[in-house]
Amino acid sequence: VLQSAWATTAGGRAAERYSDRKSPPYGSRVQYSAETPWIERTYNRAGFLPDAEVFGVSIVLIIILVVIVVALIIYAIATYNGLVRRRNEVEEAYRQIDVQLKRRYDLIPNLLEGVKKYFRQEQEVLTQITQARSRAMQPQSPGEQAQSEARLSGAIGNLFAVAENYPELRSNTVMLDFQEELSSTENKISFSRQHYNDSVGEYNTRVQSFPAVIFARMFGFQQREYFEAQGPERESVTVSYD
Amino acid sequence: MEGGTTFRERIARNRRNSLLLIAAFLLFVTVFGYVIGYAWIGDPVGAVFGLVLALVIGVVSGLATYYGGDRMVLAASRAREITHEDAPVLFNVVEEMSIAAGLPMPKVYIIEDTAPNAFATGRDPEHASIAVTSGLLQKLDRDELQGVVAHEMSHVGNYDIRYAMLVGVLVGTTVLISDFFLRGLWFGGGGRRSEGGGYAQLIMIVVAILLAILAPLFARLLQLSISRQREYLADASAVRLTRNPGGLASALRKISGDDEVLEAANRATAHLYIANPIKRFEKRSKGLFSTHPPIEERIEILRSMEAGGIAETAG
Repeated sequence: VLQSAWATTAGGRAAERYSDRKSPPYGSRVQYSAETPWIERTYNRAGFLPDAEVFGVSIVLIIILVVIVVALIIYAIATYNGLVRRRNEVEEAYRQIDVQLKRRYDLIPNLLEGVKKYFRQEQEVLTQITQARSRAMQPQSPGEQAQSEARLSGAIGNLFAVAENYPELRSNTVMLDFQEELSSTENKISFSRQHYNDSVGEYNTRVQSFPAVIFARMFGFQQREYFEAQGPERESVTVSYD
Repeated sequence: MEGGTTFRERIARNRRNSLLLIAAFLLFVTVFGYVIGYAWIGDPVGAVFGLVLALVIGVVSGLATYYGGDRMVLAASRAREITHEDAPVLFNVVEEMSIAAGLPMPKVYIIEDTAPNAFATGRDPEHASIAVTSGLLQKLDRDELQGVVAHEMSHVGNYDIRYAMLVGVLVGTTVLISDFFLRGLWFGGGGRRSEGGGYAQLIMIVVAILLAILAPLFARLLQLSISRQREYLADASAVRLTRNPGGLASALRKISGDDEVLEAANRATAHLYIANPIKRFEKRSKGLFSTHPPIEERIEILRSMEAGGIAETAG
């Protein structure tokens, strides 16, 4: 099978043409004298005869080109899919922040209800949280949203600070559970932001680095922005101590 | 940013190594089975028989472990699944770490034992479980618990849990086949030898005995060295999740300072835990046969991260 397949190639046809002439071109039929240069023997055995060389070489070239093109296409597909995967991870991480923020809205009324009686003297702190929550839940621009979320975190921080003034609360299990749930909610929000930033970091590095940057430009993969902590989150904790 | 890429590369390497390990394992089982079959029956037909038998044992035990190994380990450790109401702090901490790692929430288990320790198992992050002892919950504060859970979550995210299971299969199956052969040889193996086998069979018997003695040893060494590397890596990944090396460092300090032996752990599950649960062993071993790197060294590395190296891991 191999031989007949070979005979249909350019080299094979050329060899047949050659064999119509006087001297057989290849194999054991060729009689080499001691003076025949080695290069000629090699060429003849391999079937790359002078007039077949053009066809043979071009076929090899075409094969090499096809292999290179196929490899490039495979690489492009892998890179593209990698970029898509990372971009989806970034978007998923962004949605996760929202999930955690919504969860905080849902948790706050229940939690406050449970500890209301301990804070009779500190109504102001509780209303601060309730107001910050309802403000954060209103539709607004992303910048404003981040600010009101930060204000809500600040209000919750104030409540913890105030609770420090009541030594009897420190051993109260209801209060401890409340603090655990609320601070865990805060942690979940900040960890979801941290994860978002981690994903953005990986994605941006990928989008910027060579050679992926070529495909990223070609298919319109934009760099994403990091989530930056807003100012008020830190301010308001200190503001309302007095 | 830098850290993110390297961590992803490490995960990719881990998955690649898992495939390599499976390939090497199958190749080894094939050769092992062939040699034992030849030594046993004395002709190439017997060799093929041995090969097929060994492959069947390897594949069946491999699949059984892959899909049911986590349940077996958890049951052997007498772990009990919990909900948020049973242990709110633990559950919250696990949830926080799964959010930080961007992984699905694993199942949470408690082992009723006063020795502080923890482990993770499962075949992938979608089917993962994290188990901690009740002693760990009592003795650690929230930051320390967070460090330990982050360490376990890193084992989940790095696919160490799958790798540990595969290595467990490798060790188990190798020991099984070796025992099978050596015992058979002991109890009147000579009767089945064919006359035609002669010289070739004799050589195969010698090779088979050598393999049967050495293979389990090498498999175990591989298991140990691999799990040591992974502990360092999981510590580093944990810091990337909590951004707080101090928590894990002081947790490790407390765990290593505790002299209680975890009764639910045995040699088959020891390598899964965050710190070696079989203490007698840990104390006199820093080298070849230890499942865990020395805790002092791990604390040292974490302390240096705390001092300023954290910028490298924090994206």
